[in-house]
Amino acid sequence: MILLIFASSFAQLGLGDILIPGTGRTAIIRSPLLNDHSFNPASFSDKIYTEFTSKITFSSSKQFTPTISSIGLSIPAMKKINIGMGVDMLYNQNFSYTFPEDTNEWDIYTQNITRIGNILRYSGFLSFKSGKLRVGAMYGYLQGNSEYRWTIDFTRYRDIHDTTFTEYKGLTYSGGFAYSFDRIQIGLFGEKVYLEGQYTHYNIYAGISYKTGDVEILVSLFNLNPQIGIVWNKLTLGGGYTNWKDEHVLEKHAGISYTHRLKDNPFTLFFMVSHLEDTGTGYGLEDTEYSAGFSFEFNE
Amino acid sequence: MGTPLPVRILALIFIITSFSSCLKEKETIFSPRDVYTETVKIDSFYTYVQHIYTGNSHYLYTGKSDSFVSYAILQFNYPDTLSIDSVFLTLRGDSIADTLYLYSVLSTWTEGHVTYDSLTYLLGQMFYKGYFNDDSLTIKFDTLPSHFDSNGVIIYSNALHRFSSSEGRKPPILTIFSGDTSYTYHPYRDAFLCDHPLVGDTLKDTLLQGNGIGFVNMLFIPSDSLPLHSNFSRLEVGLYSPTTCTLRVYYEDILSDEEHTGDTTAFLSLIPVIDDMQADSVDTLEYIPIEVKMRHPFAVPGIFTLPADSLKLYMMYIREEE
Repeated sequence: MILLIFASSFAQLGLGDILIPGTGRTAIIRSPLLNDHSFNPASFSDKIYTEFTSKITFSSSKQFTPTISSIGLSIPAMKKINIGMGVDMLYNQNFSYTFPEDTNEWDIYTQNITRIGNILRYSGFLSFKSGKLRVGAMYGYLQGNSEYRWTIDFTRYRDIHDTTFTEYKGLTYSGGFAYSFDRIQIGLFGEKVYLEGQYTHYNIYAGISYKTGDVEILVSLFNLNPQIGIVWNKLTLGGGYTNWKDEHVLEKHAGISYTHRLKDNPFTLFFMVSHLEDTGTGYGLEDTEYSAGFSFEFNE
Repeated sequence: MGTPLPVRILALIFIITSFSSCLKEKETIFSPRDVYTETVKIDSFYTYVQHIYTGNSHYLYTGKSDSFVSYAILQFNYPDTLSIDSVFLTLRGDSIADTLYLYSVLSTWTEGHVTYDSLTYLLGQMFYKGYFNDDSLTIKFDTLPSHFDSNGVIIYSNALHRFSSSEGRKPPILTIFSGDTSYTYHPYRDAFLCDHPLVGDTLKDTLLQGNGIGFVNMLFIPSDSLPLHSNFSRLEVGLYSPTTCTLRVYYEDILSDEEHTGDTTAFLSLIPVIDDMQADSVDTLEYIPIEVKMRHPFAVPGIFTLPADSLKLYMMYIREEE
């Protein structure tokens, strides 16, 4: 999600990799009501909670990106308070692409692009639970870099090399709450993301869920973009339509996950498809990403 | 318990979305960068004519022809302690029927720098004059002028003649008889000193090249014709030359030495120029001055006019802002 704040920096070449922090289920449903500290600090766990998520992304633009995307820890204190920290990979790419050979009146040439980089969020959070109300706040430090290399290999004339290296530093603050009624739960999560030398963004995510029997339906607005998800026993399905206006990216995604509990510890396998369209460059670029991964959550 | 309806609907949506994505033709999200090519006519230039050093030539030229005037200068390095009984100087070249004039040289001279201008302080007294009708000339000296060993000799003729130089196949020979022994020497250094009425002139809107005297072609490339902040793969001046020559290109310093085969367009790379300008963030120059010198070490003194319409700038580049 926050990655897309940076996407315009990379939009000249691609649509960027979308990484939503937290467990894979969060990326699928994108509701602030999921009990996921890395996405909404209002999450709460009665026990020591540890989370580890990793995923692999394939895309039609020939990207292959294995990522340890999220690590989180929260510790209960005084029964009603959670103190936690986390590291989330918001951007990670390492790929190379060579275009088919081209020619003009003077020469034959091939173009190659290599892009590497990552942006990490180091965060600390505090959450409070009182009855049916959960509230939380998060402070995060963003750090990363990107290197973008473009090479045009001419047969006869001088080759062209162009390298752009960018360092990123930034801060993020967020706050959120969730309140449970009988079968209905509502929640809100807002954040400010400041990236030094780039820009400042404000994001608001609101959600509502309804639970009946084994089924819980979650509907949310992800920066006013509709998302829907359903949790049924061990299965989670979800999808959404997200117009990242500032980043000029239109995303449609759908995903599924399966969670198996080992004692009290959920182990989740997830799969997600995202179709991305560039709405800013005028080239009509598009890409489809297939992500698969797993997450462990330990409660002790 | 059966699967709830909302789950079924969502599963259906998910499957359809996944399959529609898979069936869609795979295409890269990236576009290759545009490689631009451009040819610009260069219409600002002049030629400056000057005396040049000709010591690397395979021939020495003497005499006058078509406004050219040339003197040959040679120096032999032999021990000044040598007791000289008689001396013979042999020159080999085209057949002549002409008078040769030999002059003493008033001072020492430096290889690489001596030009026609140097005659004002080098040309001494004529000490020999003789008529020859042959292609191999042997001149006998009874006495040598003073400092012949250190300063050498200057040779002149009425019409233009050429002799093989020390770089040529049949270099001059100095034979010294000392008692019963003879010693032979080739020139330690030699050159021909050539002049033409155009020397010193600046000829606007004209491109000249030639031999014997130097032609500096100054080309002015308007900065606004260059996308200065682009990445260049090709940046070359195209210049037609009818003769084989070496083209030396300057921009502040020597850029390149190109061996050019005649009767074709020579392409002179200016890539280092644009690299320098980009490194120095120079974009205030209205024109980029490029100097081109042509050397013809093997040819008779002469002048050629180059077709100005052959003078073009060839550019292939990627725009940086993309």
